[in-house]
Amino acid sequence: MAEKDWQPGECPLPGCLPATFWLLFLSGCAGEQSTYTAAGVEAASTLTLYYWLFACVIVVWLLLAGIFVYATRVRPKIHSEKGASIFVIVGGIVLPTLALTVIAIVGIILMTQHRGQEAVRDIRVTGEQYWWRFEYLDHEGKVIAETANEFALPVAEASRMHLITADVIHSFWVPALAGKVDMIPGRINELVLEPIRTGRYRGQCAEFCGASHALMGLVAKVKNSEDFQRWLSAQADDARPPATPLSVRGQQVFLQSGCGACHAVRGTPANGRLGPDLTHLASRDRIAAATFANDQDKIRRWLAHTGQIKPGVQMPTFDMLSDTELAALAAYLGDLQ
Amino acid sequence: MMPVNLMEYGLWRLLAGPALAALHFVVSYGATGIFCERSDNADALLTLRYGLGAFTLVILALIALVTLLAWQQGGFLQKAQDRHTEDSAEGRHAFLAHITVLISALSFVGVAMISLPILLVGSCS
Amino acid sequence: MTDASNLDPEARQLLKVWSRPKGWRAISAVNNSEVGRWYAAAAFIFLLFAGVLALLMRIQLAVPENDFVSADTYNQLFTLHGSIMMFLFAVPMFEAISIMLLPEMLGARDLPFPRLSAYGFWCFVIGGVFVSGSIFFDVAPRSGWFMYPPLTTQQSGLGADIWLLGLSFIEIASIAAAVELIIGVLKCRPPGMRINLIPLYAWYVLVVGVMILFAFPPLIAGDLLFEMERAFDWPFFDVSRGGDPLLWQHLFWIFGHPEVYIIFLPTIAILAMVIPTFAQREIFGYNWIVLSAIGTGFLSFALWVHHMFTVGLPAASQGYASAASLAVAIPTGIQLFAFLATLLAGKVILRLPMLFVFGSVAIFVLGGLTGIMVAVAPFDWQVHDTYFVVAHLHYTIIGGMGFSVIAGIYYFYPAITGRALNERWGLWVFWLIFIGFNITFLPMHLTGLLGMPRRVFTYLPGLGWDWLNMLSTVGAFVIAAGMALFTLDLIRPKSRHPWSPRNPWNAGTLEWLTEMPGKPWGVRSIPAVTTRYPLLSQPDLMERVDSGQEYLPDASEGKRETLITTVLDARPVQCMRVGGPSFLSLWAAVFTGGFFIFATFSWYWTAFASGLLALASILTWLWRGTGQIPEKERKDVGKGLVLPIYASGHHSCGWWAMFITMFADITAFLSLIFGFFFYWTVNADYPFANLASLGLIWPGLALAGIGGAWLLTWHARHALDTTRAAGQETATALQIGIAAGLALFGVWALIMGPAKAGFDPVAHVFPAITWLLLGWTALHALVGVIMLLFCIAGLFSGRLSKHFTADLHNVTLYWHFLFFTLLVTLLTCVVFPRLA
Repeated sequence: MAEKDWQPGECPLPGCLPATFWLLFLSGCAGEQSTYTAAGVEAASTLTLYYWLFACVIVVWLLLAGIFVYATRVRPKIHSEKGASIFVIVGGIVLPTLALTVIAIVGIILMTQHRGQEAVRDIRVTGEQYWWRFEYLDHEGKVIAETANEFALPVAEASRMHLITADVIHSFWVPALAGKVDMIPGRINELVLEPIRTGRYRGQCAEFCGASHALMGLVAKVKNSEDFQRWLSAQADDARPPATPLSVRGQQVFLQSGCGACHAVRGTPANGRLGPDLTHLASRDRIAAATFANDQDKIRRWLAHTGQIKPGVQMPTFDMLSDTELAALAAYLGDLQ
Repeated sequence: MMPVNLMEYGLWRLLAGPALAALHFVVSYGATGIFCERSDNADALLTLRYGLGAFTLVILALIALVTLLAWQQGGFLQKAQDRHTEDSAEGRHAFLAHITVLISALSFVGVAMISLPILLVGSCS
Repeated sequence: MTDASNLDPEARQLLKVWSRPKGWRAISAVNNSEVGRWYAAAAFIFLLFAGVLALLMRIQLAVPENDFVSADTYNQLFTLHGSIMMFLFAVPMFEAISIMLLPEMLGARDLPFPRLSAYGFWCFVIGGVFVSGSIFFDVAPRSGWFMYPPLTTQQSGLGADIWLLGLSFIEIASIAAAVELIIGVLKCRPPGMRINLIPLYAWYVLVVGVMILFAFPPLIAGDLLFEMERAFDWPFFDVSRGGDPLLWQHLFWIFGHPEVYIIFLPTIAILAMVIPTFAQREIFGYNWIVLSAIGTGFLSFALWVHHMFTVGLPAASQGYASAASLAVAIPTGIQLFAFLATLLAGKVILRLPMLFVFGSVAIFVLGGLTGIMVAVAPFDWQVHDTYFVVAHLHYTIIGGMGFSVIAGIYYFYPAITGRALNERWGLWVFWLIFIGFNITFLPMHLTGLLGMPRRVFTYLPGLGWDWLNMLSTVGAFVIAAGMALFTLDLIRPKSRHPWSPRNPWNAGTLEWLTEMPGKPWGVRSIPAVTTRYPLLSQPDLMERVDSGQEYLPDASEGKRETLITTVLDARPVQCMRVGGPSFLSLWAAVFTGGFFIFATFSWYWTAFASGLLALASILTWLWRGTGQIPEKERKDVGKGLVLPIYASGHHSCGWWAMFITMFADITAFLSLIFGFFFYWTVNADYPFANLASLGLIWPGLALAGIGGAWLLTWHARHALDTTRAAGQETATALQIGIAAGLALFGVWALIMGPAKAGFDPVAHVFPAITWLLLGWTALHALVGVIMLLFCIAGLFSGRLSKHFTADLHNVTLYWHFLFFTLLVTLLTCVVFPRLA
């Protein structure tokens, strides 16, 4: 794990560091996984809410700390009891009660706005230790296309995520789009995502779910409407047959090593349901639940060191494969456009 | 077999406001949970909101009553306040009455704030 | 340490009675000052240990993709860090400081049940070492201090069991301390200290004690459900058999949120003692502060759901919690403004403790304000389970608790040890911790907003978190340097340092009566109090106390005694004998520990045997150490006041202890009942009528048996109280014997019901919860039978008679609660399924 495999996102901190640390809290930094990026309706509204709350926090904190310093250092002499009384009643009771009531009302109204909205598309997301299954559903609830760890959304359309879990509690969170919602056994939680900007946004499981909770990432790609439709129909297709001799060999290794028992590659005998669907693996930017860039090198490394890279992962480590077999397998997987 | 010392005026009255607020919370929270888990019918929810709204008003009225009674018992007069540090049964009485007024008033504000969702939230999701 | 040669004979006798056991017997000490000091030292050691765990975590997170520790080790580190800080430091530290100082503030010689304090302390140490030590064997709990199922119910290994059983054991110790402290505040005040005159610290202790009674039992109930699932596969959190993992979250946070205030309020209480001293005036707005203590206490129970904003609860439910979380800021704000007003209206002198008060206020206020941010549900959806919340909670707890405790240690150190800490070092300690703290935790707000979740053993580079994490790691080591310096100052030998002057800060409350060095008797004589700051406003108080002119200046019968007063007006009503040094508390704790620890390893027979030994030691302790028949009825306690030595019924502290303990017990029971109805709510499709196959006959017989035993016990107590005839004791013994028989019959009937109906607790959650409720009641009835047998033995030996009825009063009180338990159980398990 020592090697730095991750491709830096759009957040070259401290390159975008503003003049002072405090200003940083205001401007933040538009990273792939940052709440400041605000590329969804809910995230944008919450960001505005944050700025307001943040402003209140700073003002009140400065006032209170200032009064403390004033009373103890600047002028530690006796002030009148009557003044102190007014100070407690106005500053400590009346103003906070009014302010808190306003905050409560705003919070509750915003909350109802961001839950239970209408949506035009249904996507079922299943949290599994330690990856995500995405199933695009039609109006009858039948699966149109299945993918894993990386999914696409059309911009300016509301999609409803149906959040379930296959094992323990997970929490689905793409900070740039919306707040998080937990995936809990026995429940189907809903979250409507309505992106306002195209782009690539990273998310991550937010509820501790076991040894490799830290490595349970996902990628949301927000596309314009045509791109999205093209992507979806491509995802719904079966896999392309392997084109080069190396990847034909790779497919043999895939099938002989029993990969198909857990992974599906639609259009081939591999139809396992336990692990991520690999039909269009090569169309994804990243592998291993958004942990590595998707290239031959990383695929080989992942196959040969699975358990070491992701402790507690269910997939066995295929270090018994020879280098040539690994290369062939990686080539096959790299062909699954 | 009640703890006799607690039967005296002060401490029970003191707890009346918080107890009413607690009752209000348990009923509101429990009813909402049961309604939303067991029936997703919008009309049912409306009934629930009216019911809880009325219940809230009753609780608020009762807390107001407790506050008022304690106030009348001398809890909030400036003269009485000077006696709070007094080493006498009257001082203790005035103190407890004053605390009762304060606690009940806080319970009132608490109940009012916690009822905001009844006013503002129209669906279970 | 104490020089007895220049004392008068009366004082010498008093000193002898209260003197500490010597040599290896020192561990049999039970007096509040020793136990309190050990308690505080142990809690402090756990703090340092958990701090080291935090440093290891910070090293791991200093750079992305670090492999300093493995994922599994890291998960153990953060789980133990949270669990130790909460259960082994924060709450025990409150108990330690209160055990140490509350009696001194109230001019009492000791708490009412010193051996109970010692028992609680030993339970705490044994459980704490067990839980903490597990990490050295790589078997520590590894799923977070919140232990959410199903991750934890499915997990193999001992970790989860160590957490559940080890900490349940410590929770029991906390409840023991709460019982002790509540009665301490209500009944052990000096004469004349009416309820409007008590030190603010005592108000907070009272509020926090009551909060513990409401907050800890739900967790104990949750632990019970949890361990039944892990050990015996009863499906309480298994969705496929009707269970629900959310029930655990509810029970955990019904405990977990008030817990935060249980930690926070007592240390705010320290500020309420420190600030007036250095503002050189009485506290401004005493009533406002009492209001805020009580108000925070009760509102804090309405906001546990704010830890569950992301689980998909109905919007209205989230709304209640959101509004309640904001409402609780009102009393907290009042508290703070009253402190600031005290400073404004006073003539402030800046000494070292005030610097820590400043640190506490500056940091806590920011934590409180970010708390307001996360109380707003939509904002919480973003930052929940991110480093923003890590920052928020450390600001509230280290600000609210950490800095105030250190302020308290600098302030009270002379009162506790007779010597002051080094103020020059203290400046370094303050600035290192204060600056280090802000370097560590201020950036974490931003780390969270940039999307970094909590509880991750590593993170990927390039997400903007790298340098923020490095900064936090650097800061953590600056804090560590400050803590190291502080620890060094605490532990370095100080025998060459001069004794502190008496009442060095010119404070007004009674703990400063202590001589330098302190004497084990607490105060030479117990003063009558007429004001809130008696040392300042009752001029010759110290001289009168020292010269033994006040109450209870002697121990002429060679027994440890303290004064018991009434709740509201502190009229003295009893001169109570309290327990002296004893190994019984230690043994009882060892065997109780054995019960829990052996159960962790599923050695159930050994655990059972250890439990029996624990019961035996507790019974011996009760028999030999409590409710002793005094050699005379009354005692002259000085100033012309003659008080009874023995008390029974609600006049006795034992009765109050039973009342309060059973109150906690009923809270745990009602949490299980809540579980039953929770399952009913989420299992709309369950054929509920199935439960009706329990029938009416067996439950009816159980009601008749246990109910009959209850009535008979009540009658026996009443008859013993009111009779004038001699020899009533034999009749009472007979009645109680029949009651015990009836109760055993009732227990049998209670168990036969589900057994005959073929309820299989593994099959579905409803048979499981029914078994659990009936079993809970049956177990309580068995304990009730043991109590009855204890009374019979008492009747034959003479410790229970028509003149000395305390035992029977307490047992009858237990039976009242038991009958309530039975009734609610039967209504829930038998009547409700027929109606639903």
